[in-house]
Amino acid sequence: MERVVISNAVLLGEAKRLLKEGKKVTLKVKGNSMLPFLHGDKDSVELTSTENYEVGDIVLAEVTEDHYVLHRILSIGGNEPEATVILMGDGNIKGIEKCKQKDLIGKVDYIFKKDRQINPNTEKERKKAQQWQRLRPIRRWILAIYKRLYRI
Amino acid sequence: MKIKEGFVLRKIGDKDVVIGEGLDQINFNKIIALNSSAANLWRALAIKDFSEEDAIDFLENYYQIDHQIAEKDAKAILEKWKSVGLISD
Repeated sequence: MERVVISNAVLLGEAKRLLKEGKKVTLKVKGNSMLPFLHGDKDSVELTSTENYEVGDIVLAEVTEDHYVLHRILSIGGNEPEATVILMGDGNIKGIEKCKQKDLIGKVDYIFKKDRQINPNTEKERKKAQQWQRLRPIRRWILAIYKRLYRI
Repeated sequence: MKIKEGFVLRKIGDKDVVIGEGLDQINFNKIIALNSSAANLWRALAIKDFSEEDAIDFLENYYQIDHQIAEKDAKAILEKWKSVGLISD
């Protein structure tokens, strides 16, 4: 069967609508900006809508109109709609996204890998992410080795 | 035959696609695009048990085409649906 390509803006727009209806949405991760936790074109995530976001959550955000990212919350100024949120991809060396709490569309509650599923919101997984944050100054080199090992 | 429970026809952008949906879950990894005749056939047949004859009749009447052409098209569409697990016998 032919492969049909639906643009990210359209597909994620639909995901946004469904999340607002209270549904959970599973989709495949694109790109490698969330390495080493999410592998593009391999891993999938299940998103759910919530009203309470916190630092360390992996979220889908519409950072500008029709432009979406699936990144981790670095800081959040509260859970009011106008509160400022700073996002960053785990696999990025620099570059953050700034948006408002109301631009957050959903939070990852499960990561589906080939052979297992991970709840990223357990204490253990959050600790791993925090440790990775601390390695930011040397991420560049770790990621280079990681990408070579996994042939990304 | 019957369309399996949990598959829903939706419009995403300008495309008709079938998505695997649980009660509160939608899986965008299980997404199948339908062309317009397949989508119309789906709309006509999704609600009930149907036979290959029903599908042929529908295409023949809806598009006012020859029986042979309708038969060929219906068979091709149903074959595809079967191969990707959208319908059960």
